[in-house]
Amino acid sequence: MTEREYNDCVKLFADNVYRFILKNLRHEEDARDVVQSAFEKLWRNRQEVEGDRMKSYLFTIAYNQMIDHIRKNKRVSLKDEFRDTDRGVQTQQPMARRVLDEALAQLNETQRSLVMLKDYEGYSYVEIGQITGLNESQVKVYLHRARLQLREYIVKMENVL
Amino acid sequence: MNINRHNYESYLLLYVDNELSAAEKSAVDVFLADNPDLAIELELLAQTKLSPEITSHGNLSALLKEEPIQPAMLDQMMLKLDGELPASEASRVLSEIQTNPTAKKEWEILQKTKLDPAETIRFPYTEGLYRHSGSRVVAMRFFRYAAAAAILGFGLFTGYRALYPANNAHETEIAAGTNGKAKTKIPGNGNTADAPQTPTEATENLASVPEQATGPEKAGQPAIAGPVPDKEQTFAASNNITEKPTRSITQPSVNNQPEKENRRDIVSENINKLPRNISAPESVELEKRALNEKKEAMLIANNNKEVPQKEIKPLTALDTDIMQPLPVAGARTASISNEPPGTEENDVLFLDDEQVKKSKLNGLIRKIKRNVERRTNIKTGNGIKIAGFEIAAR
Repeated sequence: MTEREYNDCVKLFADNVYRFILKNLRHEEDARDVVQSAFEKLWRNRQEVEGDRMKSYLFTIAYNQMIDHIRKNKRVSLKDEFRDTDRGVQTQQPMARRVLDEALAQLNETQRSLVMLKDYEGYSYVEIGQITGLNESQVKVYLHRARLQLREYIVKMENVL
Repeated sequence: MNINRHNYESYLLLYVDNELSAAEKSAVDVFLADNPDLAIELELLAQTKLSPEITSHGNLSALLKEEPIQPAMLDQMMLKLDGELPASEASRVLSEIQTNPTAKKEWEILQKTKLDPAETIRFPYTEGLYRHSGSRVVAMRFFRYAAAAAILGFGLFTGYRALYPANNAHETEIAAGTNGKAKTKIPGNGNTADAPQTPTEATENLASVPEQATGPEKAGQPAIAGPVPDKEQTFAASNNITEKPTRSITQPSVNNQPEKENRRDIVSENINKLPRNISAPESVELEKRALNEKKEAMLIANNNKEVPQKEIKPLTALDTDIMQPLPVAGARTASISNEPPGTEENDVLFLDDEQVKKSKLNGLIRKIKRNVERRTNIKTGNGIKIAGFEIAAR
């Protein structure tokens, strides 16, 4: 990957990676740090990355760094903090999206990542497996469970409302 | 069965609830016929009885249990939602969904679980992620070089003026004063230096002095009659003339440190002791002479520092004989200034330099200089000074 390709990668995918990490961590500062370190690592390893694989490579780095970050901060109770950020980020969102985001927050980080990689980035099961280190069957099963869990939450909320 | 007016109520309630047998019912009817006032009470009790009503639910389908969707169909729907089905399979699943109301409803709910890829969140620090390996080169034109040189020169000049303000003024004064004194006549030698003498020339003149000065001393004459060979010798002469008559300038005591340090005291003591050893007319002359010598000593120690003209004037008006040694002292001033810097440097710092250069900054610099000299054994004063910086000359 050349310097120009790297800069193009920044231009094209910085927002996507940031959205992916921010939606997972629900903490802006941490998401920013993870994104910056992911791009830093991409720059360091640019000689090993081919131009057409830079997006998946970038998401792989970001995903791994996010998992490391989550494990590192596991002892800290982030749930309340997430909720505060959640309110701040989504005050102007429509009801359906807000409910969906709340449902997304109920998933574990793996399921959440799978859903976002599928829906936001449009990756196939195989690509998602390469990014997350799972095989295709695992991706399929985890993703279907995540969908059903989201469905349950949405139905419950609709009944309440 | 005995029905009377005391127990008829229970029979009436049982009658209304249809709990009496036919015989009991006929017995109640006979009793009510005999007591028509109680028949009204039976009618009231009968009105409290609810009549059976026929009602319909209306929406029984809502109560029916929905037939659960088949797991295989749900999987197909999930795959269709994720876009993982081939086109032909996808169209088949879609048609099934349209025909099956349960599947259709499920499909609508599942579609709500899909995230919207159009949702964007901007990364606010994208600019910091870009990389530019090539550094920018700014061309320097001539006027930029000139401006930089001008600023540098001004800075050096200002710094030098700030660091050595007294030194510059002092050097200017000394330059003027030395030129004036070099024109005086050296006694005994007979040479008159019309042109300003350089320190080398003055040293040569001084070198010839001891030979002439030793003559009168050997003859037992007081040293004041002839040229003064040395400032220490002058002090000795004013104190006790006969004590060291044979002392010559070739044995200077400049390097004798205690003697240098006590120079001021010696001058004052010599002045006080004058009347005891010398007669009255001579003592007046010697006193003036001692004063002159004191000023000259300060002048020497001050490294060619000019003595104010008004302090010398009274002496020139008194006696021309007294004035004769002064040029010698002037010449000696030049020669002493050419002495090795290591020996004369302490004198410079000891006497009047402190008055001239007394400032906090100079004091600090002097301390640092002494400290560096002490630690590194570097002797300053041998090198070439350029803009306040000294370059060692080897």
